[in-house]
Parts: sequence; structure tokens; C-alpha cells
Amino acid sequence: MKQFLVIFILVLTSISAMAKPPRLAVEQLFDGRYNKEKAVRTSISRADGTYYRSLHVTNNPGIIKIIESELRKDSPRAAKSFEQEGEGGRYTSLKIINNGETIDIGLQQYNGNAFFFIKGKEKAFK
Amino acid sequence: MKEHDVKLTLQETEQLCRLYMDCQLTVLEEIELQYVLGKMPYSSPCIDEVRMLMGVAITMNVKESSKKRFAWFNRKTAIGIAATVTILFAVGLALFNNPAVNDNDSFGIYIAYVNGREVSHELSEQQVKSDMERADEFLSHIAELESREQEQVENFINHIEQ
Repeated sequence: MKQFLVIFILVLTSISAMAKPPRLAVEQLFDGRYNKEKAVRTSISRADGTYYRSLHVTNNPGIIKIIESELRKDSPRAAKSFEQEGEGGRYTSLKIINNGETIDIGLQQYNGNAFFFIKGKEKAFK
Repeated sequence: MKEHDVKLTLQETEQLCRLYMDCQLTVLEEIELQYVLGKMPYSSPCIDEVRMLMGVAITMNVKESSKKRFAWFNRKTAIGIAATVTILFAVGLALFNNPAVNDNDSFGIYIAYVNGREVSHELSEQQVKSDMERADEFLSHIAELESREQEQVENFINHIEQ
């Protein structure tokens, strides 16, 4: 009976440790709220085992601020983060590990515009 | 006493219980009553009282029956169940992660919105691919910036140490 209990607990543990979606705050930006926004160009893709989403924002500081704010919410979860202001503008990068895979999140702010993306293996988002 | 012998009515059982209370049963009859009370589901104040007095014997019966009930549930069965659950879990997980099982994975999804409108599949694919290239450039640029910064830090530390 003891053996059974140990095996059962191990099975339960492995189920609970099973792939969990990362539920990133930045993912919420792709809930369709900017689909009709002329200042935003949205790209969504799931192909060849890669998950990719991006937003190009043109001259809309309000939306850029929201993106930045969502990015800040995810930054404590990042295994590695990088931020630098240089010639090409301001670069913010996060690397979040989920299910043993890396999720790259990037934001480039330049001349009042922004390019924001989330990219990683699909396994990382399951 | 065999099981087919135990066909007493409630009244007969009560009668036996009253005789037991009056100490009018022989030792053998008491044992038989004990057996009957363990087997029959009858209940009345008199029967319950006798059952309570014979509590030890009844408890033993209950233990035996519970043992019988779970006799099939031995270690081998437990390991078998656990192994089955594990195999099912592993197969399920493998199917879940198999790209061929998921139609979306095998064909790929490309969706793009430009100027507040969804664009055609072909244009979406082009836009997504071009954006992905830009993301890759971004990541290589970040890697370059990081290595430059690291180099600067190392130079600074070396300079301080000298």
C-alpha cells in the first residue's frame, strides 16, 4: 500500500509539473484590442513549432506606454533582462524560461515609434 | 453454523436476544446468536443492546469482511494501476506534443493586421516573416550590446586592478 501511495504521489507530482502555459502579461496585448488600431501593425504566427507575435506602433505614445507597462509586469519572471539606450533607440529585452524553453520578449523604442515582439518555441507557451 | 441456516425473523432474533438478556441461553446458543447478529441487518432496542454487549465479536466480523472486500487490492494491483496511469499520462503527453496531431501546427497560422484591417493570408505570411527577421536582428543586436557591455565591464575591472 505504501508503494502504491509513493507511486501515486509521483504520478500526481509529474502531472502538476506538466507543461503549464506561461500566462505572460504581454500576451494580453494580443487579445485583439489593437486589431482595428491604425497606428498599430500586428503580426501573429504559429508555424514550424515557433510562436511569434509582434506589434509595430507608429506615433502613439499611449500604446507604447501600455506595452512598456505590461513588459515591466513580466520582468520579475525573466531569467535574464537587458535594457540599453543607444543609437537605434531604447532596447528592452527579457528572456523567460518556461517548460525548459526560452521565450524572447523585445521592445525597441525609436523616434516615437515602437517594435515589440514575443518569440519562442511553441512548447514554451503550452 | 452455515449461512443457509441463518434465516431468523426479526421477532425470532428479538426473542433470542431477550433470552440472552435473561441468561437463559447455553454457551453454544450464545455463540450462535453472536454469529446471527453479525450477519443479520436487524435492528431494535433489544437487538442493538445485545449487539453492544457482544461488541467485540461483531467488530471482529466487520474487520474480516473489510479485509475480504479489499483482498483484491494487493500490492501488485496497486503497482499495476500506478503503471497504467503513468503510461496513459506519457502517451497523452506525447500525443499532445506531437505536431502532426495538431492541424494548426502542421499548416501554420499567419495573421496580420495593417491599418486596422486584417490582411490576406499571403500578405500576412510575408509580413510575419519580415517581422520575425526584424525580431531576430533585434536579438542579435542585443547579444552584441551585451557582449560589448561585458567587455567594457571586464576592461574596467582590469583597469581598477592595475
